[in-house]
Amino acid sequence: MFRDYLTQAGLEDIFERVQAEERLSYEDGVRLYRSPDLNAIGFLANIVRERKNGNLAYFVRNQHINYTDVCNKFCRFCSFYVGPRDARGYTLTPDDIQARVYRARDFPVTEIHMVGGINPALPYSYYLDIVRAAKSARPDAHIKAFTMVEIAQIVKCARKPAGEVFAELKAAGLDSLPGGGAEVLSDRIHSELFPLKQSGDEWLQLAKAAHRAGLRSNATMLYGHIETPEERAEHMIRLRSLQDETGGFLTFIPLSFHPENTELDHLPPTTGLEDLRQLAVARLMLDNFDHIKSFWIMITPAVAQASLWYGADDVDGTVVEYEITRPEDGSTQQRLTRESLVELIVEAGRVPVERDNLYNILEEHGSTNPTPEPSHVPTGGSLRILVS
Amino acid sequence: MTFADTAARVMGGDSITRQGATSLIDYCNLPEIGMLACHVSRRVHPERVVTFANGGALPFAGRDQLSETNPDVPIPNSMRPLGKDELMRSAALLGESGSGEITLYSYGSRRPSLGEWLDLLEAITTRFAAVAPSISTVDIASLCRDGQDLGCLGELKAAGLKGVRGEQVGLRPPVSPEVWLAVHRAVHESGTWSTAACLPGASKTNPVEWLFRIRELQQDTGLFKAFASGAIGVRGLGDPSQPARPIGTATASAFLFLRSLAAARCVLDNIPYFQSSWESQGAKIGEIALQFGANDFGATGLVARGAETIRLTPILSTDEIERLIRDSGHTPWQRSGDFQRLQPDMMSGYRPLALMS
Repeated sequence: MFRDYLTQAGLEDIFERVQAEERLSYEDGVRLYRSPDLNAIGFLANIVRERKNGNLAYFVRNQHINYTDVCNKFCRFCSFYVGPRDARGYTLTPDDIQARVYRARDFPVTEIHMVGGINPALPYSYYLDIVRAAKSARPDAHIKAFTMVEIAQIVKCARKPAGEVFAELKAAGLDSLPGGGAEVLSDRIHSELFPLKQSGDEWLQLAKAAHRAGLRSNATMLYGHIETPEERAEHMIRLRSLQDETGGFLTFIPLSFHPENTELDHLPPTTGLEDLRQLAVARLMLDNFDHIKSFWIMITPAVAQASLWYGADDVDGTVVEYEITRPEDGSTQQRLTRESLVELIVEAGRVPVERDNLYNILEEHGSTNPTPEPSHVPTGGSLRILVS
Repeated sequence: MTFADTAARVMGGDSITRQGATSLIDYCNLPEIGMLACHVSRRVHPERVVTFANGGALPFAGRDQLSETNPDVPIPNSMRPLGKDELMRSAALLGESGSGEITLYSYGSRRPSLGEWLDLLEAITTRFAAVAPSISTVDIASLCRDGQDLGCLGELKAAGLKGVRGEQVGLRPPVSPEVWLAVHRAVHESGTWSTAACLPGASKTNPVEWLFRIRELQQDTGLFKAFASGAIGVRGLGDPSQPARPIGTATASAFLFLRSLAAARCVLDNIPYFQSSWESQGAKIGEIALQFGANDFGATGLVARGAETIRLTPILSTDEIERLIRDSGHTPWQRSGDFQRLQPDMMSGYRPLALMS
């Protein structure tokens, strides 16, 4: 029915490969990123989205804790960090972490998400202690903590092999890794925007080591700054290759760049079209990722709602206290209630599914929509490389 | 009729039926319904231009209201009604920028009298020919006593009224569908254009029937210049037990808005401009609306501050609007308040390079 439309959009050959469940190439990715025809791309992405997740839309009830804003990496895109010698910085103690977890005890949270800056004053024991603090305050919650950048720092201050550090973090209560810090897997962008942080190769090596240690992770990409379509497509290919090898990635999460209060504040914010296109292209390129997440706090709940038809099958969660992209005036919405998330999903014609961190279904709400039943419902997936 | 049947008709260039429109309004697949709307939009406007204007809506207070010292309802500063002098200063600022639109609406417990509206319109259009004032449907209906006394339309036109805005503006309760249609028909018969809209809060109005009544009025008069969508009346259109969501007060969800916009674009292929409604939906969804049949971004939006030395602050700059339009694969073109595309020498600091080369 829409073949002529897709032909006019120059995407008919990709449509045929999507229908045949063939893998898309780097060149396909670049073409998709360059196409302004959002609905043609969304149409293709929705085929894959429904093939993998049917009509389901996942969410989780989670609490975010940003344990320190002190950081010595000085990334040019970041508005969150405070330098190590700046008195304005904060670092939460394990007791503070515990108090924050207790503070949200009336929320039925199933996941605690902890990330922070790279504070060189913190010893290895601190990281173990804050994981223990969170776990002891809420033993039934899944503890997801530490980007690969933080993991690199933790390994450095532990002076132990990564595998040993992962084992000790797991013993302390760590359940999975959020996957941030990759930004864009490009040497050019690394040297221009975040030269003090690990390189793309190092990020991938650590992710591989985490997966080998039995820790699953997500993968992210910070988009909407100086990266090119070619660099975005390369990022997709590199993530896909590692996923072929380990199967350890749960979800891909595009993170939109917020330029305000950063060194790059001359750049415009991402547009709605760019947000949806990024999600859709990721869905098409990352054929071995079960899930694509639309992080509503960064792209607005409105765009996240629409994204459920542009490749995304997950809208993250209720999110309590997310500090990283919160403007000084506090204008960014910090919390959606479970009811709001369910309403947002139902209104879009999808079936809300409350999940745990590993995509095990906790509760599925009744469908009010006549669109097709899911053909495949992943429930946790499998990690192909476990502890080696 | 299924969505597939309807889509085949639309893609084949056929007009849509009521049954077909119903199949669109109940359909959830946004990319598919978006492709249909884009197909219609490209048929109506093959050049892929998206227009926009300087200006916005400003609240007008009559003398009685300005003298009120203790209003029952506190008025937000951004909606503080402006007197004639303040509005004239606003019009002067817009006039200096080369061209602009002002949508005037009353706000507060007392409405301006017909004499005050006439006085204001005449003053604006006499002094600032480049500014096109329009008035909200709710205020026109009030002046016409809900369509019972249409004589004022000729007076308003003679005083300089350029158009009537169909969408909900401000916080007054909307008029009934019957009054809305009667007022717009009379406005058109007086030779004045207007814009159409989804009726705010019209939960008892069949949304498809509403679109077809607008379509029929347009076939008769041809004086609807544009359509502005909110979600059509109610959420969960397949489920009438769901509560109504008034448009313009509580913002419709992005999903309902985009779907309604696309369905309306498919039905109303005889209305030239579809607006992005970015002011109610936000800039991100406003841009996405350009992939759902919208071909007019609307106006920059205005916030008037100050009294003696009034300042007009655009909510979105023209540069930002141009960026959003280009990002969506379209060519931006500034227009006047009455939907005339401006030539480059009439645009203040604005050059549509893609079209000049």
